[in-house]
Amino acid sequence: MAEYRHILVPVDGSASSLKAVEQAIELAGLCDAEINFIHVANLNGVMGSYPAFVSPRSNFSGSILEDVVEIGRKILDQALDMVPQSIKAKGHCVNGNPASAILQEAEVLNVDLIIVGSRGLGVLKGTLVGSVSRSLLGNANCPVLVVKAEEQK
Amino acid sequence: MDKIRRILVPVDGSESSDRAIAQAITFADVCEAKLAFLYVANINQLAINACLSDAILEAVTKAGNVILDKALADVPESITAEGFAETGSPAVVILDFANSEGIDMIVMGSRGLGIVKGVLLGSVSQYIVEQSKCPVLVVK
Repeated sequence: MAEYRHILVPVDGSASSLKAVEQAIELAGLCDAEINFIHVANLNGVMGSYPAFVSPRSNFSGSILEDVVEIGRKILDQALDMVPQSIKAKGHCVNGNPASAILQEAEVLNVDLIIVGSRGLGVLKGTLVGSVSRSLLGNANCPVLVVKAEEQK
Repeated sequence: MDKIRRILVPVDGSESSDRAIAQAITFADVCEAKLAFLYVANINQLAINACLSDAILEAVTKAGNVILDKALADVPESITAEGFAETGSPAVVILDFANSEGIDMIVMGSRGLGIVKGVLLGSVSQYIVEQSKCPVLVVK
């Protein structure tokens, strides 16, 4: 029987992403897996409608970039703080399109499971499954576990 | 976090459903959970009453049993597994089953034997991911 060794958990600080963190910790504890948290700062998404901002590295002022990195750090630290010492966990902060960045990280880290909240902090409150989760479901090469926050039930 | 004690695996004989069975066995092993395989024959109850002959019904039941037996045969002896066959609209029957049978997690293929080959996530899987109260593991 196969086992889970590397679990990838995208985090954005939303309620359903915290639920995904809890689920990953529970599972990693059972099968001795390592958890990789990933936070994607979607700078292009924020500034997408302004062509001048398409390349964040050259156009964003230092302070905006620092702020975004700082927020990402905090979200990753919040997840890492939830993990008991007996479980190995790492945090990764990247910039880019969330779905592509997560899929790329899944390939690089050779993960065998992605655990994701059903919807994050996107603006469309009515949708039951966010666009990032949906894209992962359609495109990931490994199984994807979708979990929901309590209030969504 | 609630412990996962009972895992539902909808099966339809497709390749992606076979891979879901393999993942579900891994999960059940890790969590010491029980497996429930569910085959849903997509027949409307009215059609059954009105015009389906016993021979057709028997053939459908037999096909479902073959799929369920194959799934059950894959499960190691250390894991408890049961097979269930129902009729109706698959997505609705699967969700009803999950709610009424105290299921903690659903493991399913990303797409089954539906006719639209181009889509990456089948309509049944999409409906379940959206409507399910419990976590759903989608397997390609």
